[in-house]
Amino acid sequence: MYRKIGGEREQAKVNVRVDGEVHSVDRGEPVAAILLRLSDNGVRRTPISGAVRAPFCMMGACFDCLVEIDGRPSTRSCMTFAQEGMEIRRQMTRPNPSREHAA
Amino acid sequence: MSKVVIVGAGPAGMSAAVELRRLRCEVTVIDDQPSPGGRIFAGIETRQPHGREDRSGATLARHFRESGGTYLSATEAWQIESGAKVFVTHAGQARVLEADFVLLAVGAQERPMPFPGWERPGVMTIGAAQILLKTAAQVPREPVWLAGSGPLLLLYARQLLDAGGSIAGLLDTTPKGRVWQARGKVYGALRYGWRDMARGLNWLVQMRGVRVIRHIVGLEAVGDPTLSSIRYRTANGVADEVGANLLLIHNGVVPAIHATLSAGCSHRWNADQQCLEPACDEFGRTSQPDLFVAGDGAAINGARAAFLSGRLAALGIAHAAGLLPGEEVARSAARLTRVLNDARGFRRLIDTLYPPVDLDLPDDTMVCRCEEVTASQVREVLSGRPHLGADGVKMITRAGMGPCQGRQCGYTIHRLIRELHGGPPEDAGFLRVRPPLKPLTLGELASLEAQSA
Repeated sequence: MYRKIGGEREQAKVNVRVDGEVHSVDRGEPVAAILLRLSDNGVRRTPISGAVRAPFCMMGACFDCLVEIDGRPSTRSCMTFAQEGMEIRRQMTRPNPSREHAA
Repeated sequence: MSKVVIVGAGPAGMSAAVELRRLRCEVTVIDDQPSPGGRIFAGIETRQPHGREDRSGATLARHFRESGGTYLSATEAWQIESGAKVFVTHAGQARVLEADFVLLAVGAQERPMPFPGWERPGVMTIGAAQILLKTAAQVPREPVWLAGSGPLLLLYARQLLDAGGSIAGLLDTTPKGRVWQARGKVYGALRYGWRDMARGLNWLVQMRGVRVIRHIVGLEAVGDPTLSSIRYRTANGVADEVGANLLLIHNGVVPAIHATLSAGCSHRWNADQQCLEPACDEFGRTSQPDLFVAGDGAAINGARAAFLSGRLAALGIAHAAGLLPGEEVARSAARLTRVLNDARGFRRLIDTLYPPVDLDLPDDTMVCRCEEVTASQVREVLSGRPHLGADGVKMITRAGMGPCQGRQCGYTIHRLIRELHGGPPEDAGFLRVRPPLKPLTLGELASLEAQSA
């Protein structure tokens, strides 16, 4: 839904993986911002009805932007900032706590 | 030496920190963002400041960095206790900060604006879009629809156009006749707000080319699952549908009261702004004598006023700590209080021009986004149960029990209690807030034990 505006400042770049695919992004930008550029189709499904949700408030208050980051499920992507090698997974299935336990 | 913990590194928290350091207090500031500035000055240390207010934010951030206190960034407070203790987590580690005084400078959040479909991907808040612009330099890919009213909406519209974005149209929820009602408040607003008023008029002029549909009373976000169109209805009975893949909504801001609610501070109903705020004296001292509040988290008066209320809270804390004699505090406070009163005069004009709006709330509207509880479910449990309050609704329906802890449904439940039971808003009650204020893993909690062992 979003695009970067050109110019203004040169940002240091890092590589992150989103659902296994490598993307070059600005270091320190919110993970939710990356996800909103990459796709319009939401970042997670709710555990109750399975409805699709996407980042909504961008300030840590609504908990709609939850994704798995570096193996930790249900992490707010708006409050997590891109670092080199970050592993991001959309939560399009119900979070599975046993998987984290096994890791 | 007095120890003060400040929660929040926005204008209020940074101003208070600088002042308290000057008064030789030991200051620790914690903030959930990676760099100081709060939401209003997000990314201020690395982006180009836009305009006068931004420049004052950049200067304050520099003074704050030089003030010599401890600054813990990317750190969240999940429990605040009178006593005074602040429990925080940073990078998976929890710890307790003990202090003589705690200043909560936690700012505002956008007032939830529920309508059918507002939970769909493709609907976001104006504040969210502004944070994306400030912290990630990104704008909506296509011409975007805006809905709501208020200064933040106009400011973002202007920033978006400046950044090369474009606006498909504005669904303006401002009720009829507000300019006429506001006329008596212009004079009282001028001294503090003439510059903002001139700026606002300038934005309105720049917005002239934008399609505006006025007096919106009903909205619906349509799409499966992602937004594909917006249905709207006006006070004049006009109903239509427009295609859209992104809708940005805004219904003003309210103080973020979860921390003060959970700490047991008294709160009062602000009838002008239709919201709760912590009860406090002119220095921001709450009903818990070692807990102070400042900035928009104390009362919505805007960023410039937050610079002042942060300094006032610092004076109040220094006085309470016995560091400053009463006469000196009174003298220093007098000027700050006078300007703050002018700021309130300006705010009364804004509140009259852009009052919070209750859009139609049909039964299928999602009230609690986390637990997926609809308006019809809440109405059903409230109907015929005149003594049931917000906590009863929470117990029966789970509304307010999810991870956001009622930040997105608290005021809607409050509204539905008034709708079903009548009575004044201050009697409708609010959800009880319990720690942790932000989610905490058992591992983080355990790390707290390990430290004290």
